[in-house]
Amino acid sequence: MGPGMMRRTMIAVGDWGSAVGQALYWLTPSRLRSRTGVVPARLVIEQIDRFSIGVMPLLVVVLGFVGMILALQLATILEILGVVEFLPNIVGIAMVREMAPLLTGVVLSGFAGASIASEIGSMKVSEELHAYESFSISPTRYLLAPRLLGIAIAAPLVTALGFYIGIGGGLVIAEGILGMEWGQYLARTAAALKVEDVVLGLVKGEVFGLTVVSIAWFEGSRVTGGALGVGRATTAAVVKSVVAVIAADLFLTVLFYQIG
Amino acid sequence: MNDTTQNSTPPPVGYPEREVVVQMKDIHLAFDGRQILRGIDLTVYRGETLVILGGSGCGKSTLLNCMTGSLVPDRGTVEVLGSHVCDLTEKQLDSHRIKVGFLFQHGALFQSMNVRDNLACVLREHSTLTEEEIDILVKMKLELVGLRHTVDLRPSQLSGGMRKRVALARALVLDPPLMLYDEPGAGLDPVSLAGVDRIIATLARVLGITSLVVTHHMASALRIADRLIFLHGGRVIVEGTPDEFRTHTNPLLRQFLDGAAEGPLTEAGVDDDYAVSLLGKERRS
Repeated sequence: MGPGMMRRTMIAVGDWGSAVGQALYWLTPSRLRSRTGVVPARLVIEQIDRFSIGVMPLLVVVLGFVGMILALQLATILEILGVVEFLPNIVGIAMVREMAPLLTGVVLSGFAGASIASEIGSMKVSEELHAYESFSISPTRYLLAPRLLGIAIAAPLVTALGFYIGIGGGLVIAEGILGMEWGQYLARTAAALKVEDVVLGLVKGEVFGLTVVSIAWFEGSRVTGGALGVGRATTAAVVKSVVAVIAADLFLTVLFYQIG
Repeated sequence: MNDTTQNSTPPPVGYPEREVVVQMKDIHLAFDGRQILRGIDLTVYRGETLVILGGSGCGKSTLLNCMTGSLVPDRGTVEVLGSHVCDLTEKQLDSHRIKVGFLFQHGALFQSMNVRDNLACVLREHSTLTEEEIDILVKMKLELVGLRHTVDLRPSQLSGGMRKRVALARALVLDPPLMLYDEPGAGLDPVSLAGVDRIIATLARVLGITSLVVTHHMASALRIADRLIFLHGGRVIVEGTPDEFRTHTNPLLRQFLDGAAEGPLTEAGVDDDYAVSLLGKERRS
């Protein structure tokens, strides 16, 4: 990486941090209490609906299938080792600690990241963002803050839903192909999981959601060059979100590993 | 009538003592190394409608954006409604912008809101009115542009002309003393355009709103203007009343007014040596 590229990256990261900082300002308790500072509740509810109900069909398919694949792959090895009864334990822990939050983050990158970047990019191109500015209305407050608050509420919910869907996918294979009894499967899963596993999974989901939305906003609000620029921003938002989600996953995994 | 840029623009004939609302002096601005404005001097008086004419990319909209503080010129001063716009802080700019109504080229309505909320959100932000009072004001402003019945519609359900009129109602919702219109006729049929022109003229005549209008539509410009300026090459080339413009002999303005494909405006953009630009120097020999 040359010095020019390094400088541009640093500036971009600084701008991104500034945008997130401004949005967080509108979410501080004092602003939320004031009459003119309030983030419109209707807009927040719209975003919660978008990031939870909207993303659910895709999440069911992706995590359901991954749960099944994981169970099948593990079953082959565990049968050889003669410990196939540990399948629910491993699928449960893998799903809750890693697979469900990570895949929820990736699904959100494709779903929310692309739609927010293209939406905000189109607003930029059609001068809607400029119109907010010309009326001295903060676009951060009306557009970014509701999206961040919406994802902050929806991300843990969809991640938790992802736990169940992924474990359910494993259950389908365990009962349908391996002949395990479903009650026993669920009891072993519950016994294997600790509160810390669930907390780690939910924290990851939250961080990934906020990362995706803030990157998508940032890319969308920087659009130049009309429809072509919107397309570029959408692609950049998805690619950068996926990379950022995986990087954040590594960071959080190492952090929790250190904490124990 | 002026045929070249002058250091200070005289008040329009018959109104020698009128209050200055906008004063721009020696404005220079470049984008990506391309000089857009090269020493613009401009004065606008209270209650007058000034139309800014010029070819695409000559800096007309840029001038408007300098007045709102969205763009800061590289050189020169911009004084609008008594404020030196370039020296304002972000907070002061917010206060400044609510005194300046801006009609965007394509309306720029907030797509996620219906017509009512497009207007109401501005009032909620900048007034202490109750929801009931806001609702009454919204309907009054929409009535002004003849669109009270659209209050519950979404922008996507409106035609281009209706969108433009709703955007105009929104721009007027805080009763700004100064209105900036960026291509109010863009994308409109002649009838819709005449309707928008009538509203602009009424606002100036009845409410005394000072208006700056950027447009390409000559008929519209001559219909609504008290005074016009013609920009070319980042400078004010001609300034005068509609009658003076109609009979002006400046060849650049003449070509623009007549809409002629050939003339000094188009010649200025032609490369002197087409073969060189096409084939490169070494191929020429």
